[in-house]
Amino acid sequence: MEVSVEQRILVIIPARNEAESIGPIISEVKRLHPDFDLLVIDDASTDLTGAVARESGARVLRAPINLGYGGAVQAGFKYAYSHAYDLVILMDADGQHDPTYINTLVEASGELDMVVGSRFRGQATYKIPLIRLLGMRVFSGIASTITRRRITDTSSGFQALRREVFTMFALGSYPVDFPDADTLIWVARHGFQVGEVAVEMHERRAGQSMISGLSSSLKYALKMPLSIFVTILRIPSTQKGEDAR
Amino acid sequence: MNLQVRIMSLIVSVLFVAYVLSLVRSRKLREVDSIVWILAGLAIFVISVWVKPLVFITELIGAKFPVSTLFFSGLIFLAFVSLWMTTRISGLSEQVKELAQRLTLMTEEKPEE
Repeated sequence: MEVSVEQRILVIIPARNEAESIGPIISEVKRLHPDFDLLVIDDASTDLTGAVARESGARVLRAPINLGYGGAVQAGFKYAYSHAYDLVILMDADGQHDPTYINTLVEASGELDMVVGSRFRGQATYKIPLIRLLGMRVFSGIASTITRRRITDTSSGFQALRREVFTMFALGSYPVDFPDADTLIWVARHGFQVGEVAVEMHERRAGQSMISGLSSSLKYALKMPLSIFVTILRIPSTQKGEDAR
Repeated sequence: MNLQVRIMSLIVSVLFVAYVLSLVRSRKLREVDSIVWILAGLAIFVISVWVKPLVFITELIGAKFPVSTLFFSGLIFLAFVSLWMTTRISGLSEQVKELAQRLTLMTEEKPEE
């Protein structure tokens, strides 16, 4: 598998209290892709996430307050934009995303502007709670209908975004809490090519999921349909790479 | 509305506006944010002195008592004020996020080689 060497690629890993799992992930990414830059956004962790990430060989940005998943990711996009990267790989710090699939994402980004690693096209080596699975299916169905592309895993945070796409999010708006189907619809509505590749996802190594607990799940279930609805109502800018909000 | 109620609401409106002004004076409330509350206080004052418009509106909307109209408009007013406040909070949250991200981008630590 050949990956273009001219591209400047940044791997962004947002992390909050992931000191236990982040070290091996960084080492693995560095071993597989020594030419990629690695940026960890330490989202106001109370453990040693930042220090572990730095020791393992990543650049670290430390948020002074909890930005939330989306806020941390957007900070990463801003970094990538100001440092003129061509491609961003987004992955989680909890060990769910297998770094061996980064190559697959990078390759697919030759054809697509935004690539989502889907556990439903590939394999999830862990059991997803039924309610969660149902929500994922519903939102994927909605996203597929609106974007007219087959989307199976809207909540996957294992993604590759080309410069035009992450610039749109860096300069415009990006959901603070749960970027999901709404984000994919927004990207597709700007005329960008969105697509999926099959990846394997594992059980998280340690820590706690972003959507855990009843109130969080409820918030997700209520917020996402609303967010999709207003995303449809918003008018995308005519030019690619510009946020129209 | 009988005289007792009118005197009561007159006193309340004067006290209310005085309290709002004292908050502005002690810089606990910005002038621009106080306008809506001062206007609300003045509205109560005007209605207490001059009941005719209230009676007119009561007849217009088909309510039985002027007091019901007063309660109804009060509720609507408060609902709008709290919605407006929520938009302010959303705006402030966005600004705080923006600031925090800018601070975050200034904290880059290079990896240990």
